[in-house]
Amino acid sequence: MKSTASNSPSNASAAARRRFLQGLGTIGAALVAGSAVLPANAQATVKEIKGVTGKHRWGLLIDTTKCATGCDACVRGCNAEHGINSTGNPDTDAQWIRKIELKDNLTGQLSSLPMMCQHCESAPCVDVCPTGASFKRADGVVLVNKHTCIGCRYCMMACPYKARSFIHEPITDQLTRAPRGKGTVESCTLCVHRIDASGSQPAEKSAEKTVQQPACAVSCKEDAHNAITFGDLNDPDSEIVQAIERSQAQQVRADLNLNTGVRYTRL
Amino acid sequence: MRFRLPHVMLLLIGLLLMNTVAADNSGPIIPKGKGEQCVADTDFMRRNHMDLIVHQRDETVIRGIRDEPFSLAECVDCHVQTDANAKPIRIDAEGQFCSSCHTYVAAKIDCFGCHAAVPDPIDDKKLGFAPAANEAIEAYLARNLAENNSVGDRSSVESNRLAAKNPPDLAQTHDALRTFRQKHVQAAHSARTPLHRESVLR
Ligand code: HEC
Ligand code: HEC
Ligand code: HEC
Repeated sequence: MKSTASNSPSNASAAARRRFLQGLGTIGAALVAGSAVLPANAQATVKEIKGVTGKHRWGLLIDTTKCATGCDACVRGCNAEHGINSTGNPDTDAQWIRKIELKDNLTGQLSSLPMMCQHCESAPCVDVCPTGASFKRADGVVLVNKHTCIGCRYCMMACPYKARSFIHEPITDQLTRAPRGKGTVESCTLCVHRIDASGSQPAEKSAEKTVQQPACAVSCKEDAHNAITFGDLNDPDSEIVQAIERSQAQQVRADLNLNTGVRYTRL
Repeated sequence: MRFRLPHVMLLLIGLLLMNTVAADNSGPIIPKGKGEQCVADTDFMRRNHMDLIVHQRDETVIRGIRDEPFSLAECVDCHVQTDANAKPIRIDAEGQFCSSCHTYVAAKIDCFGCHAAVPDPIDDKKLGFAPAANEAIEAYLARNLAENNSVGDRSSVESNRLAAKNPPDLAQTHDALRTFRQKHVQAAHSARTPLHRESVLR
């Protein structure tokens, strides 16, 4: 269809005209930008070294063989880190992590795992958001920009993992590191404030420095389960990638092809 | 009908009086911030703080940049007031820093519906400083300690003995840290002010 269309003469001339107009546009833009060329360049260099980049992709590996039934250390750790307290309505309380118990009906085998935002590469919540508030950071962390969230909850509908919560009631006594408030959607942030604080910028440095673990991983370790590994999925030598390969870890609903950033061993 | 004119006169006189009263305390009463100066010139801050923090907001949330001086958390740290019991008062409470001018000009902000309006309690170990600031603070404390321990200085020996008897309370340490950090932030800021403003005002 495309090739036949561009073969016809009238289309060829239209394409030529488009090229010409594009050329004009570029010249115009160059003229406008002319006076600002120097500062713009100076800024570009600053931007290169600052801010998160696609060099890393942060993710989690959950070892379900180590995750203990009935244990909610990760949930408690997460709640403490982000100042998540019950508002007295358990039905609508925010849940960034929830513990799930699975039972295989044939074998009767039980397994337990934490479910949270899976930080998908192709995140459905990002696709459906009408304001762009649901977005993926350059380093793969899927977030809600609460400043532009209008509370429509499309993302909650779209998420196959039910990972997001809507805040129904006013919140008080927030922590400085975790602003939260009524009328917006929220979910696991992979503790971005910790990732950022551990000097992941300039981007080059973070390879040498160890990046701070998310609160859930820390709590799990403190509880001596060590079921949560955090790390860089882009680094083939990282502990997490090695462990994923070794254990043939899986994605929940791999059939959806979302390329999740959270993987589970022995699902 | 006949009484209308005096009424209008009275009203006019009243309005005139109100005007003079308002002119007397011209402008809002703004609580003073901690430290010597703000993260940029005071004049500049008065006019541009809204753009600065909203710019910072996107830098932090979208690009993960957290070591910049225009962080909202920093504003709260420096501009929060304490009550008679040294308890911090919400910065958006009536008459407090972030509502003083806003009430006066009828501006309304919703930031503190989500953002903490008081600094985190002091026992919070994770103050969230940039790592560089942390290192600098460690170095500063180490240096100060060394100075205080210098042999032969009677006053410091004395003060050390005093310190051993009444160990410094956390609040004091925190204040020292904060003062130091303010200096650090300002130094970092003035070192790159031109470029930074460039990017802010872009
Ligand atoms: C619905 C909740 C919500 C509201 C309302 C809100 N914020 Fe935020 N804000 C957040 C969240 C969540 C973050 C991300 C925190 C993080 O990643 O550590 C944030 C981060 C920020 C940051 C970067 C962190 C810091 O402390 O410097 C700034 C600046 C900021 N917001 C400014 C504002 C301003 C200004 C307003 C009001 C005009 C506002 N915010 C209103 C939720 C909110
Ligand atoms: C290092 C401590 C510190 C920080 C951090 C700080 N300020 Fe200030 N700020 C001050 C001081 C001190 C003054 C008063 C300066 C003066 O009197 O000239 C001030 C003055 C101001 C003023 C003018 C007030 C007046 O009296 O007219 C505004 C507006 C302001 N700050 C906003 C902010 C905002 C917004 C932030 C966060 C981005 C912030 N400040 C962060 C210390 C600070
Ligand atoms: C010196 C007086 C003054 C102080 C102090 C002050 N503001 Fe403002 N602020 C203003 C004025 C005036 C406006 C309205 C500007 C306008 O309408 O264009 C404003 C507007 C804003 C806006 C934009 C509101 C909107 O509707 O777009 C934000 C955000 C803001 N201020 C945040 C803060 C915060 C946070 C603090 C406390 C750290 C603070 N301001 C303290 C004078 C002040």
